[in-house]
Formats: sequence, C-alpha cells, structure tokens
Amino acid sequence: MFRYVLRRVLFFVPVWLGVATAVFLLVRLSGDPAVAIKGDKAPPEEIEKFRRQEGLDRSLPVQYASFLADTVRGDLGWSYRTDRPVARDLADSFPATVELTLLAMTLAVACGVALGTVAAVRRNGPADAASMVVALIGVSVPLFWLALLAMKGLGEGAGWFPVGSRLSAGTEFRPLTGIYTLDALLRGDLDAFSDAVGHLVLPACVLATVPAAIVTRMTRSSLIETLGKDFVRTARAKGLTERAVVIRHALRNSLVPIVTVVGIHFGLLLGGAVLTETVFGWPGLGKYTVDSVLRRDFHAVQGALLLMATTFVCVNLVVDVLYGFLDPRIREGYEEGR
Amino acid sequence: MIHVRTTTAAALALALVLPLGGCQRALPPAAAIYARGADSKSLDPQAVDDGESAKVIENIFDTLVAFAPGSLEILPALAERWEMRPDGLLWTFHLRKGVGFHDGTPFDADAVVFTFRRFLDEAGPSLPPDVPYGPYYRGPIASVEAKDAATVVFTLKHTYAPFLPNLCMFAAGIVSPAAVKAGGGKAFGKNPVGTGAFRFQEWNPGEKKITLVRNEEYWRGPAALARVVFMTIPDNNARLSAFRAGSCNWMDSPNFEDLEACRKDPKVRLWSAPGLNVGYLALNTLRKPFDDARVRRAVALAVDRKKLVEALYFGAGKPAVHPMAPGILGYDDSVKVPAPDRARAKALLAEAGFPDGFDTELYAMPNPRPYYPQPQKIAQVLKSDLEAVGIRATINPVGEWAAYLDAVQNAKHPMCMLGWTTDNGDPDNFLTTFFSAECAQPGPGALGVSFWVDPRMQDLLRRGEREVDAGRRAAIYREALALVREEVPLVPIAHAEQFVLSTRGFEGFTVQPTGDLFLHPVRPVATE
Amino acid sequence: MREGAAALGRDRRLRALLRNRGAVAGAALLLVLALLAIGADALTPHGPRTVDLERVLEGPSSDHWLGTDDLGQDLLARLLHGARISLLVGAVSVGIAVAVGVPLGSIAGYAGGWADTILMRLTDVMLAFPSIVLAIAIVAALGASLTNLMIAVGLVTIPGYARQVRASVLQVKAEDYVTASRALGARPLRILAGTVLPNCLAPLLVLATLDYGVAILEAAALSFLGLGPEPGTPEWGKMLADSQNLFSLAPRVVIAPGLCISAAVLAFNLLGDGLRDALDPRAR
Repeated sequence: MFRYVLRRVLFFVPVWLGVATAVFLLVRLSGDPAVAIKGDKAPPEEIEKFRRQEGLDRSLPVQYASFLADTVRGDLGWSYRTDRPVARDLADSFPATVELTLLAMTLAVACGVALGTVAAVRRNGPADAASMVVALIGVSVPLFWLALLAMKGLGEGAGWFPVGSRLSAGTEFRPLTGIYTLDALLRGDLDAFSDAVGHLVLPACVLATVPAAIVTRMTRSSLIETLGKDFVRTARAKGLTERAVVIRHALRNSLVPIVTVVGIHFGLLLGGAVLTETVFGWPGLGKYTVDSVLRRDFHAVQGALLLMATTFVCVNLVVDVLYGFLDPRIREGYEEGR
Repeated sequence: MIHVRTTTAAALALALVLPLGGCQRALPPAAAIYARGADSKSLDPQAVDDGESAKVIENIFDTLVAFAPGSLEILPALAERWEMRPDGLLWTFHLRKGVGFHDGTPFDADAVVFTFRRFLDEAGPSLPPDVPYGPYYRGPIASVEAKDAATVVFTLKHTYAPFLPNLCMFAAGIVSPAAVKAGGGKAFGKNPVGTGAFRFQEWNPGEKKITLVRNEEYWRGPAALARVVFMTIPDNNARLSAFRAGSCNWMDSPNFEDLEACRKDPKVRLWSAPGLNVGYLALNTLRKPFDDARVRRAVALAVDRKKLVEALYFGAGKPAVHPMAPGILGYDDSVKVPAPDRARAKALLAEAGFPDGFDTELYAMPNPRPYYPQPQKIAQVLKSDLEAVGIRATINPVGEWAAYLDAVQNAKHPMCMLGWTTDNGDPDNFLTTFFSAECAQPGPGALGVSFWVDPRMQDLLRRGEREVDAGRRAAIYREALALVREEVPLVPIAHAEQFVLSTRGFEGFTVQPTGDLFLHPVRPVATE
Repeated sequence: MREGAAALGRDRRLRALLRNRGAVAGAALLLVLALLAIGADALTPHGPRTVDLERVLEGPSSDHWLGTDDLGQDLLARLLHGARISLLVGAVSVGIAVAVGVPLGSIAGYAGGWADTILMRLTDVMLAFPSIVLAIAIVAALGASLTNLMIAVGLVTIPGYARQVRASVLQVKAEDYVTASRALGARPLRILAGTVLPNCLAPLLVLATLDYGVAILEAAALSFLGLGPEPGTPEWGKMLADSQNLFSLAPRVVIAPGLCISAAVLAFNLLGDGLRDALDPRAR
C-alpha cells in the first residue's frame, strides 16, 4: 500500500513541473507582458524600466528558473489589475471556489445517487426513462446559459435569491478560513450564515447540474450491474427487504465507480466553476482566472492557472489513493502493469 | 436511516428558507452605502485622475471654489471672494475664516500654498508618487504665495480662461500640510485629511470598502448623513442586484437597459443629469483614404445618429452634432442634427476616387464607457450605415481597454470609436484634447486620435485659451466648431446622460454635470 | 474467411445501432439541424446581419417569425446561421483533434520507450487543466477570432484521442499476427493502418461524436466570455452574451440561442451514446 502511495506521489512531481512549464510558456506566448500592462500611456522608457523590474529582459531559461524558484517560495508576483500580491488574491478567491464546488459536489452526489438508484430499481419503467432524459439534458445544456437564466430569472428578476457576491454588502464579517458558511457557524453568527447560504444556493445548484447528471447515469449503470450479482440474490433469498438490499448492500458496493467519477469529473467541475462564477459574479478562483486572462495580468494568470492545475492534480492523487485503498485489485494491477 | 434522511431534508429546507428572511434586513439609518464599479486608486487629490478616486475625494476635501449644484456656475467655497487683475495675470483669493482640517489644524493660506506647490514642485517629500493633473496647473501657474493668513495670490504665465474652472476640480482639493508632512506625500493617499463634509475613517483594500464619517465641525454645517460607505461591485448586473436586495442604497452606472425598470420601480429613485460627455467616431487622417476631406464628409453624411441613439441609448442619450457637450460655452445651438444623405455621400466618394466604395476597419472598445453604453452594438450599427454608402468596415474589437487605448493612441486604426468626459466644464477641455498639436501626435498619451493638426485650429485654440471675455471666447469656439464641421476629422455621435440610483429614503441630491459626487446635501427622509 | 466474419459483425452492429432508439433520435435531430443550417437562407427572407433600427425588439410576427433583437436583426435568421457556425466549429475542432491525436497516439503506442513516455506526460500535463481554462488561455494568447476558437478547442480535445489510440495500439501490438508481420519485415505504417486502426475505429467514432457536442459547448462558452468571433457574428454563444441584459425586456432573445445549443449537443450525445451501446458495449 505504502509503495503504491509513494509511487503516485512521486509521479506528481514531474507532472507538476510540466504544468508549471506549460503555464510559463503559455503566458510568454501571449505577447510582451510589458506592453500589455504599461501599454496605454507609457513612453518607451517606462516600458524598458518595467521590463528590467520584472526581469523580462533576461534570457528565457533564466526567467524560467527564477519563476520556479519564486513559486516554490510562495512569491507569485504582483497583480496589476487588483494592485495586490497575487498570492493574496489567490488566498482570498480560492476558498470561495472550494466552498462553491464542495456544496455543488455534495448536491450533485446526493441528487445523482438518489435519482440513479430510483432509475436502477425501477428499471425500464417511466421513472427510469424520466431520470435518464433529465440526466441526458443535464449534460447537453450549456452551463453558462443555465447560470444566466437562473441569475436573471430567479436572482435579479424574481429576487428570490441574492446574487452577485458572497455576502450582502454592508455586513461586518471577518472570515476565518475563507469559507464563509463554515466561518459563520464557527462564530455562531446565524445571520451571516443564512446570508452566506442564501448567496451560495443558486450558483451551487447551477454548478451541480452537470455532475448530478453524470452521477445519475453512473449510479444507474453501476447499480444495475451490482444488482445482477450473486450476493444480491443471496441477500434477497435471505428475506431482506428490497430497500435494505438496495441501500445497504448493492449501493455500498457500487460506490467505487462513483468515487472515481467524482474524481475524474472534478476537472469538469472546476471548468464549470469558471463559467458559473463569471456569470454570478462569484469572487472565486474561476472568475479571477478569467478576469486576469482577459486583462493580460500575466502574474495573476500564471498564479491562477498554476493553482487550478495543482488543485486538480492533487485531487486526482487523492482519488487514486482512495481508489487503491477501496479496491485492492487496483493497487496490484497498478504495480504490475504501469 | 430514515431519521437521518428526514433531518437532513429538514435542515436543507431550513437553510433555503432562512435566507429569504435574511435578505430584507433593514440597514442602519442615516448611512449611505454607495456601490460603484471599481475601487479608488488613492485618496490623495493631487495623485489621481480617475473618477472612482474622485468620488470619494470630493467628500473628504474642499476646493477654493466650486460649481453650483447641477450647473457650471462657479460659487465661493473655501475662498469667500476673489479678484482678477485686469490684465488677467494675477488672481487674489480671500479665504474663509474659522475652517479647520479633520486633524484639528487650521485651514489658512499656507495650506493652499502647500497644496499647489505639490503641482509646481518637481520633487520633494510631500509629493505623491504621480501627479496626473500636473499640466493643468503647472502649465499656466507661475507662482502661488500667501500674502497673509487669509489671502492667497496666484501669478499666471499668461491669461488663462480655464483657470477658475480648474480650481473647482477635485484635483485642487486642499490638503492638510501637517498630515502630509507627518505621513509623507506617498502615504497620504491612504490616510487623507481634508476640510470636507466627511472625515476618513477606514479603507479596507481586501473588501474594497471605504468608510467615511460625518465631520461635525464642517463649515457648511454638518451633513445629515452620519456615515458613508463606498463599496465596489464591478459587474453592473451584480451591482443592481445588490441594490435591489438592499445590500446598498446608492449606486451609479446602471445598465441603460435597466433604466426603464428602475423608472417604474416605486422603491427606486433615479437621479439624472445630462452628462458633459461626447462619443465620437475618429477618422485617422494619417491614413489613406481618410486623409481626403471628401471621404471624411461622406462618412459624416452616411451615419444616422438619431436612429442610433433612439435604438441603443434607451432614452438616455442625445445625438451629437459638435465634439463638445451642450451647455458648454461656445456650443452652437443653431446647428441641428443633420439627417443622413447617402446619395451625396456616394457622390463624394466617387469624386474622391472610390465609386465602388472601399474596405476598411473600425476599432470598437470592448467595455462600456459613459458615452457609449454598448460600444460593440453601436459599432455594428455604424458598420451597417457605412455599408449603405459602400464603405465596408470590419469591426476590430481589440480585446481589452488598456490594449484598445494603446492601439488607437499609436494610430493603428483607420477609424475608431472614442469619447471624452470633461473634467472642468470648459470648452478648452474638449477641443484642446482633440485638436491641439501636443495631444494629436501618435504615441502613448495621445488624446486626439484623428491626428489632425490644422494651423487654423491651433490659432483658435490658443486664442480661446487666453481670452477672458466670455462673449469673445464663445465666438472663437463657435468658429472652431464650424471648422470641425467643414473638415470632419471626427464624427460626433452622441451625448449620454448620467444616472445615480438611490432608494426612496433620500432627498436633496443633485447629479453634477461634471460627474462629481457630493453627498453633503443628502438628507435621509422617512418612508412608509 | 476473416473478411466474411468481419462483415457479419458489421451487419450485426449496424442492426444493433438501428434498434437503439436514442441513436436514431439523435441522428434524426442532427439531420434536421443540418438541413436547417444548409437551408438557412431559404427559410427566411432576412439576412442574419441586417440591422434595422426601426424594428428593435419586436415580438414574433408574420415577417419575423421569432421577432427581432435589439438591433432589429431577424432572430430566426441569426439562429439558423448560428447552426452553420456551430456545426462548422464542431467539425473543425474534432477534425484537428483527430488529425493530431491519432498519429500521436499511434506513435506513442507503437514506438514505445521515450516517445511514449514523453507523449503521455504531455497529455497528462494538458489534462491537468480543466479544458475550458486551457482553451481560454490559448485563445487569449492567439487573439479572439472564430479560427482561433476552433484551434483552441481542437487542441484541448487532442489528449482524448491520443490516449484512446495508444490504448488500442498497445492492445493489438501484443497480438501474434502483428509480431509475425514485423518479423517478416512489413513496414510499421502498413501494420498500423491495416490492423490497429480498424480495431479502434469504433471507440474513436463514439468519442468523436460525443466530442463534437462538447466542442460546440466549449466554443459557445468561449464566445460567451468574449473570446470569439467579430461582433455581429450570429454565433449562439455570442448571441447569449449580447442579449444578457435583455432578459427582462425580451426573454426569448436569451432563451432561444440556449435552446439551440442544447438541442445540438443533445443530438450528438444521443447519437454518441447509441453508438457506444451498439458498437462497444464493454465501454461504459
């Protein structure tokens, strides 16, 4: 087991290096950052001064080395758009995305498992067909359109939910972890908690739609397969109620592929978060990335892309380890084949 | 299992219901929570030139003279009265007595001199990192001196008509010398001390929130508002949502599409005034075929301004006929908005050698501006108008504002959309910006993106700047406007109104044509 | 003899496909979309870019079946031309992905060793970013235009094909007849083309169909964010971006383009799912 984990962790390093290189090259490819930042009113001397300041006049390999060294030390540069260190911007926006994606994932899994179970149990019936149609639509509908409709219809239009920020403006709230709902609970501030939840509901529900659809389909197929297995027939023969059979036995064994699906589609969730946050104005990592890219704020783009990719790779690592833990066959297969 | 499930369901339901009660929480009375699109850059009057900084600065600092609410008339402020020597080169200001800064130090002539030295000096510990409006003051002012504790004398290098309006600008806000000396010129922007209606309490850069509290010793009398909080919500829609949800009770720059709904909403009060701005289509005279005046005239004849404004400004705009806002000195009322004459446009093009028209590019900015609420759509309409006379333009939506300015300032465009909002309500502020030789050179900082430099215009500009008699000045500018109509270096498109929204519980506010924000006169009133 | 068996297999699969209701529905929907796209000009007298400021935001009428937008442009015409653009974008993006991904995956699988390791690490790095984020970064680097949109979406779709082909190649490489062919001196390209590629045609087809829909979604998202074609282009995502603020005034301008995108993607998803069920039941 330990060897498995170790190999997975070691594998992480070259991938991360590759990611960092890719980010570095991508940003340099977008044209001269000096002109992008200073371009609007700067005389040539200003641009030169900027280049020297930022070390853009050094050779590419030297810039790369210092970029890596700085990043590892935690110095991610300065954001010209927000006028703050990028590291601070990321520290502020990252928990917002974590909060949103965690809630969305929870909703997606809860809904998806429930719907998928119903579909599997009442296979080929109307409930099954309905669930599958809904799931199919869920993966076909453009997320930003759903977000737009929800925002305009339910948020701004009907005014049922506050949108556009994480808390109502004018609230005096000092965050702890950055996850406002959690912080509010930790401080016993129920007003702030309900306010934070209110702002969170709509974006989280919208973000949850695609993963919910995927989890539904996954649960259905996985459960159908499990329900056909011998041990289930045995359980039924023993006289257990259908509900006990399905939930206590079949579902539990179907969880493994569901866990994998969650891990694999985490990237989808992050991508979805980018669009959802932009439409709702949710100040998370996704919105920060888009805003920085559109404004060519190159330090911020580097930092945001790096953080996003690193998070994704870490989540995959965790899922792989979890998977190996849950299913010993994977561990062995991995050590042999790869 | 069942218990767990019902409890979870109940918790979820509760979590959904609670916020609905939470939204309608009432805000503390006598506080204005003002939401705007971006955070201020600095609160040092001499250090900035952007509107978001100006809004806050105007409530912390006072100027020697000020515009009357809602007009361009100049009234006494920190100066009670003033005289100009007949040759126009010496101005004497008699200061109000008994005024104090927020830090307790007295306001006197030394403070005025100190403030203006920040413009005139090249270096020194009291200077901010950058003085963008420096040229407006350094240019004409030779020296400033305190004759006595309550008298200040300005000596000018030449007669300068915009001198008094420039003193009304937020950039001329009088700062506390003691505070600047104590903290240093560079740090003053984060810890401003002035004489204004509100004193600075706190600036939270993470939340982009600035808090001001009432100055109880204000010389105009204490404000009715006890507290003002400026908060930042960049997205227009999000800002309106927050306003509707009660998170803020003031906001500016609503989307023009939302104006109708706001007008009809009984809970919303819409404050508006014509904006002293102009949006125009600049023709790059350094590039063929726009070096030919006939082609430029053809463009002016092709564009249907009235229809464009009717369709895309949602009732909050006026078609423009001069590159200067109505109400400014020298504006020629007798000229009406011309109707498009496509036949004549085609004839002119044929004369200039383009019987079949030609292909070109139209640069359009990516983000809304005060004078162009929907620039990309306006560009599409312009493109369609031009196609009708054979000019086939592709729209180049340069990706983002800084890059856009960079491109047009370096003359990369054949045609581009741009605009201007005046800083001081003076005609010179418009025309010099577009047509003076300094501003119309390609390069960073260029403001006249037609790059049209005509000796007749240069002469008119110079005379207009120095003519102190209002009547003669107006005549000079009317001549300049006529020249623009003849040579068409740019085609004025529209003027847009400015809007500020508040909830019903406020009175006494006026939208300033120059875009300044003064919250001192605002009074909270009872509503049902 | 082998060919006969293959033909029988093909027949069986084709019949399985036709029996799959989802696949048939998807194919039918796709056909309708394609016809609408091709016949766009015939279905409405108005062009998609004809600005008419006299008839701004009009509701459906006999002249404008779906009404007009805020520049007086005919909504139906724009939606139909948008179908052309979306179908084109999907085709080009998937085309790029296949054209680059299949050879890369083949080389990786067949050559093995360093080539394989490098290529696999490259795809790992690409897959470490959410694809939309990578696409945004690429378009921002190249500049916003329809062409660059297609390139960006194509590039981020490559890893899927590289991996799929590589897996198929690895699978087949171990087979005896391949080893025999190599021993006989047959050129690698022939071996690849002759045995490996037909083997992975089925999963590639499924992938391509599903990815076509994904490409349409991603391209629409990029246009929505402002990274797409010239203003005025009737691209569905751009139409949504332009009409965001018009929801309260004319909801249909916001609802219609979204429905179109959903319909197109649904068609590809139905067809792809059906193909997968019929051709490759092992892969779920």
